[in-house]
Amino acid sequence: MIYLNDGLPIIACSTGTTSNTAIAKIRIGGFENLDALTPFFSKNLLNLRPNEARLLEIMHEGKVFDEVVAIFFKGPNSFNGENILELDVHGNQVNVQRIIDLFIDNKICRLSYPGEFTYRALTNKKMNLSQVEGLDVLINSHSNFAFDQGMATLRGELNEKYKLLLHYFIKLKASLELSIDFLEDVGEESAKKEFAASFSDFNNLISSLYQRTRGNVENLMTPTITLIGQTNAGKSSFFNQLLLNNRSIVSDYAGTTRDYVSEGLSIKNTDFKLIDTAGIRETFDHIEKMGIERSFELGKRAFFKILVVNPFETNPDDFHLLKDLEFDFVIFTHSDLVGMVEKRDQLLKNPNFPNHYNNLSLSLGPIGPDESISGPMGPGKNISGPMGPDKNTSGPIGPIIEELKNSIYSKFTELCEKDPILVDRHRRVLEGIYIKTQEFQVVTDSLDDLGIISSELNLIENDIQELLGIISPDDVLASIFSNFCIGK
Amino acid sequence: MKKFDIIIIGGGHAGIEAAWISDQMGLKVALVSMTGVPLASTPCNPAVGGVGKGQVVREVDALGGLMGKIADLSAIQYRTLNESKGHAVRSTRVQVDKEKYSENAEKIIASSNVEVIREKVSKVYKKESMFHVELGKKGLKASKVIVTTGTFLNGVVHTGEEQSSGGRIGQMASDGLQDLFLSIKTAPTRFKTGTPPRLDRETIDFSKLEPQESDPKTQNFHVLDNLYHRELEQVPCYLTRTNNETLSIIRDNKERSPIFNGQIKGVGPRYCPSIEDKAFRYPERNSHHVFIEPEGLNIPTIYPNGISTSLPKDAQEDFIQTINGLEKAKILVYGYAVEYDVVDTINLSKTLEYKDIPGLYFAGQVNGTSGYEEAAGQGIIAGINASLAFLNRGPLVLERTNSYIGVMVEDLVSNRRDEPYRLFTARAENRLFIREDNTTNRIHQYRKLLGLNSELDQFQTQYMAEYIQLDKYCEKFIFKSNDETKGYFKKMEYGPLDDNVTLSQLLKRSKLDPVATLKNEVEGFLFPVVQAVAISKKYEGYINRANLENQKLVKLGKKKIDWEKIVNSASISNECKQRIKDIRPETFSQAQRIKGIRPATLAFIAGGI
Repeated sequence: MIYLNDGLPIIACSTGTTSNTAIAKIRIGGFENLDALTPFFSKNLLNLRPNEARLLEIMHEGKVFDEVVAIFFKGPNSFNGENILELDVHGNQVNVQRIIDLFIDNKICRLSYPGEFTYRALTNKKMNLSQVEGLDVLINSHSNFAFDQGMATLRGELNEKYKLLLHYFIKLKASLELSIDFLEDVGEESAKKEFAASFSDFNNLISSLYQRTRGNVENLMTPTITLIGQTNAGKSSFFNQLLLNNRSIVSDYAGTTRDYVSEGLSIKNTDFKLIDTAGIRETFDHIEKMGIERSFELGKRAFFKILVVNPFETNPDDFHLLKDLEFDFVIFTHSDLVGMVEKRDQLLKNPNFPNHYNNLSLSLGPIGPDESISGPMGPGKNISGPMGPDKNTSGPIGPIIEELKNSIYSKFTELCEKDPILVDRHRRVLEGIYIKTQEFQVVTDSLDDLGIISSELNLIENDIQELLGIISPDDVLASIFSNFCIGK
Repeated sequence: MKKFDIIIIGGGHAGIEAAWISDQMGLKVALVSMTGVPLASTPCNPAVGGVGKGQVVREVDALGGLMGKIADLSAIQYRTLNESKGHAVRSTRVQVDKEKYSENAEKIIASSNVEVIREKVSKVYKKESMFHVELGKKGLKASKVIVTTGTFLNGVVHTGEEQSSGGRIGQMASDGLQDLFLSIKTAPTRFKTGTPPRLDRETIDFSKLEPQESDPKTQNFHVLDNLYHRELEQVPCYLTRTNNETLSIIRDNKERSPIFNGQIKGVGPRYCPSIEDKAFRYPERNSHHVFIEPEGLNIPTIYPNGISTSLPKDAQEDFIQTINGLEKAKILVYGYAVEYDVVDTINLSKTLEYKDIPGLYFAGQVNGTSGYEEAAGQGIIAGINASLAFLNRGPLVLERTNSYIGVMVEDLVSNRRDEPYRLFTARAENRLFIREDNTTNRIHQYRKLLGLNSELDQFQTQYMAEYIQLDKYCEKFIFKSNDETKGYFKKMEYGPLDDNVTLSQLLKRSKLDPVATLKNEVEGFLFPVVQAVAISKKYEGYINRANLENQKLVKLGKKKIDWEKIVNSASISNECKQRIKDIRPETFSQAQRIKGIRPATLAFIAGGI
């Protein structure tokens, strides 16, 4: 188990500890009664009625710390089943820290571990495992879709589907037992019919759930767009063009590495992760080669892949490096230069030109007078080349960028329409159940031995229990709570 | 007042097993049975064994019990059920001559030192460490008592509107036990069971019916007999079916059925429904099997299996005569239902001793089970443990991982049931291992603990020596192949025959009959040993795979839980709380087996471990 279940009161700031805000929320949870907290407030907390906001002062030994709004949630009716006192304090981080220290130094509570409030909700059965996972999705979602699924999971809707799967499984198992223990009573024929019918119910449901794990869904939690191309293709400039007005407000992605640069790109309230990768070319430089391999890996995994091509500086001999990828778009740069169209068409005719669905041509001049493009760069590359001259722009770049963004967004919504399952653990277990179900079908088709068939069927049961969070919660919990941080 | 080491009250299938094994273990035994009732009578269907139950009969036999022996001596038909469904789920069932069955039981008990006392018990009470059993003017006492009184506890018999007290038709209830039972906790629901009307053999037109012959290839129950010995003449059973007309008569008489008009409140077994249950619960079905089973070679009655009923007599006559072949059938004994109280078995330990009253044991239908085999299995366990306790020796508990008796006893004492308990193979988690063919292999270790030295013990010693030898041989022996055998394997789709295949690997091939193959390859071993080793090899891989997959679950299952803390938690539903409170599970797996427990509750419990 990841937390010592010491049952001690805990404290944390729930609204983040990285920046100053007007108001911050501090939560204290798990205390026996309000008595112990009273010495730190201007009024007797025993008069505090549950679920009602009250203006108070935090004070200790005559000194006023802050003026706060306090709300008391009485266990077991609070979100995690324990007594919780919520304090809306002034959101200066110095103030927040001072208040938290006050309670810790006086041994009223200890600092909460990440996610510990929610963890207690789980152990107090205020939430089940998949609800916690839903909360994880909800808090860390970058899109409306993910938020909705997080909410649905939190409300237990997905869990209902899983319970239905268990229900079908039990029916299937019962029908098999029927043909073992009661064959004489029901007769061979109707036993077979019963078994076939219940297998089909089960198989249909697991197949439809399995479909929701398919496709490029592992990236939907944080949908990624990659720019790939040969060196000097104009990726970095294009990267900046895309970001120009749409840099997402929240950009908490892991920082820059030697190989690639990423930024948050917001399209219609959905946060995408835009990655500019190292230029792909044949190289003997060991470090550069590693960077290229990583670019390639990133490219493969991204849900949306854009190939950037400078028709004037493309080495067709290197196309084979990209032969395993399928690009959603090819962006041809330098459309403002004379002879570009011919060069472009020549490349497109090349049988080795990478697979793609669409292509667009544009120039990459700066747009506004104050914009200076000094984009991030690939390893060891200089950016003198690819920036198109600012004269001779062939038409406005805005509509082209818009078209591309629409295309990204519609691909994302299309993927979301299948209602893919975002929680990794669910996908993994559902895949396991699906595969075992198919194996089971092979066994039932090829063997008459009901002892073996039922033994094989039992193997699926464990996975279903895991899906519902009945078995092996330890490692599951460990992975959830190491991944996210809520309630702190 | 005569003193015994142990007194057994009730001479049914549980009672005679308890008496016999206690006698074998050297105790002075009194077996008290009602006057006018033969020992080991079969008031329900005249058959022993069946799916799951055949395994129990063989387990009782391997422990040194009587049921297999008596069944063989009285059998008039042998069948292997589920024959085409694989070795693990195969079971033996025999039809018995019910007259002969009781005669043989009487004879065997008479050959022992058990003192059979035919008296009605008028009072039972405990004084200091001794139980006193009053029989009219006489009295007996002993420090151990086993109660095996079947359906006689507050029994009420129903045929239509007619009701009488008693555990069976024409037999009085055993009210002499009331005083004792005042201090015993009974289950909250009364149970119900029923039988069909018995028909006159001479009035049935067998020419219209589908016969089911005895199977000469089915092996005897008792291991010391010749495998295929038949003591009595073998006769067929017949199959017929109910039809629309039958069911409409029953449906028209709904108001007169004690089960549906509220006269009977007891809960009957879902797995053994009366014809009324079938008619009303499954309105879409209009035909059900009826097995026409002779009750004996020289007995005029036929047991029509599948139409147990408590309808009034005229309705019984009407519906019977709509059935193919039974148009002129005359009813000799009308069907009836009996309602009775049962002991709340969560108050028993795994030795079947009543926890709060040391020395008092319960076994058989009084514990809420149904079936002669279940009764016999409990009878021998109670008998062995009462004797061991008398001899100041440790208890004998069979594990659920290697015996159906173990499954049954644990199910009984760790859970409260709301219907009569019958064994199914589905109740065993380890079904691929708990088979009929390897019973000696599974049970000999337990028999050995009794410390007896009879012919059975010598047989088991020899069997196990051969088993171990043959098992090793299969692992080491490389199957010699030549072009001919290779070609044959290809033709039969037995899989490729490489040069380094061991016998053990070969026996696992799916299309190949493991028993015939091994029998072909070895000589000089007992056939049951060859059979058990061959089938064990076949299932080995599957069993290992299942064990591996289950490890996580088993590990979790063994974890101790604090049921009191769980019950006090605000987080789980009152219904689940009540069930947990009743059962007091000590481990996760016990909690898991509680009937009606919700997945969410289990997740909660698992989360707290």
